[in-house]
Amino acid sequence: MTRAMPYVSVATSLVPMAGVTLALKAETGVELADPLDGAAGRTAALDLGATWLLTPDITLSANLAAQQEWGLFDESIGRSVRMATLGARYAVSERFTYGARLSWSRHDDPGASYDKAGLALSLRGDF
Amino acid sequence: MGRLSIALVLVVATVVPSMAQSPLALSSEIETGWTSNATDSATGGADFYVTHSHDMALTGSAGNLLLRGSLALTQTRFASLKFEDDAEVTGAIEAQLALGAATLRLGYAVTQSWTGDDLSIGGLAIPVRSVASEHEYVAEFTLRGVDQQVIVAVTGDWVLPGDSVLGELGLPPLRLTPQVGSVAGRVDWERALSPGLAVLAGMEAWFTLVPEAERIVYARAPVDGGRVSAGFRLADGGWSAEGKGGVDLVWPGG
Repeated sequence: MTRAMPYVSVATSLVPMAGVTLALKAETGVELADPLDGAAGRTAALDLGATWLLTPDITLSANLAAQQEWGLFDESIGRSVRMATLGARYAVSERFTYGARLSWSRHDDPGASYDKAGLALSLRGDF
Repeated sequence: MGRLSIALVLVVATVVPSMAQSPLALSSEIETGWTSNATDSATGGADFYVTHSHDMALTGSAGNLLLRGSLALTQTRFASLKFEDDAEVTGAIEAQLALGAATLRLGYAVTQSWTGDDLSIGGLAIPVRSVASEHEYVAEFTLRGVDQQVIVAVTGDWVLPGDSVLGELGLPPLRLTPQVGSVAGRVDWERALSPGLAVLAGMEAWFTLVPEAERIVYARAPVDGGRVSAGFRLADGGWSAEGKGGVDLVWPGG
C-alpha cells in the first residue's frame, strides 16, 4: 500500500526592469491535514505573480494560481482551484496603506463546481 | 564575495530580529468588500462583508535568549448571510536561544476558531456553526558553519474540533470532523558552493494521528509518509531560482 511519487519544487523570481518583479512557483506535494479521500492526497500547485512598483508609494500586482488535489488511495476523486487576482496598494504614509483587490476563482469539487468573484478595499496600519 | 559573505547569504533565511526594532509591534487591517459567493459552495449567494484583523507582538531579550509573545485576532462579518461569520484568536509564544554558531527555537501557539459554513443537501444550504481549537508546537535547532547550515526541526499540530450546530434541522449539536494530530520531523542541509550557488538536501518524516474510535465514524485514516529531496539555489543580481527534486513516500499509518 506504500505509494511513491516524484517530488518537484521550483521557485524563481526575476527583475526585468527597475520596480518590476516576476515570480513563478510550482510544487508537488502530499496533503495529510485535510485530504479529499479521508486518507491522503497528491497535490500540485502553480503560482505566477507580477508586481510593479509604479511609484515609491504605489504598487500594482497580478497573480494567477492553480491548485489540484487527487485522492491518493481513491484516485477517482479530485478537486481543483484556479485563481486570478489583481491588486493595488498605496502607502499613504509610513504607517498606513490603502489596498484594493479584484479576484476571481473557479472551484471544482467532487460533485459540484462554482465560481467566486470579489472586490475588496482595505486599510492597514503598522505601529 | 568571500566566505563570510557566503555565510551571510545562509543566515538571511533565518529570523533574526533587529535590536533597533521596538519591542512592541502592532498592526491592524480592516477590509470591506463584496463577494459573489459568500458560502464558498455551489449554492452560494452574493454578499457584502467586513473583515478586521489585529496582531500584537511583544519581543524581549536577555543575553542570548530572545522571547516573543504574540496575539492575533481576525473576524469576518457578512451583511446578509450571517451564518457565514468567522472569528479566530491565536496566542503564541516563542523562545530563541543563541548558542554560538547554533540557535535553538521553541514555540507554541494555540488558536480558537468560530467558523460559519454551510452543508449542501439537495440544493439546500444548511447553516453550520462550528468551533475548534488547534495547538501547534515547534522545536528547531539550527547549526551554522562558515559556508553551510543544518536545520533539524520537529513540529506538532493537534486539531480539536468542537460540536457543530446545524441550523434549521432541530438536531442536537454534534461533532462533524475527527480530532487529527500530526507530527513532522525534518533535516535540511545547505551548503554554499559560490556566492551565488548553494546546494540543498533534506529529509522529512510525517505522522498523522487519528483516535482509533473516530476512524470509522468520520471515515478518516491515519497516514504516514516522508520525503527525500535535493536541489540547488541560484542567485545573480536581478534573478534567483531554487529547484528541488526527490521522492515522496506515503503509507497507511497505525
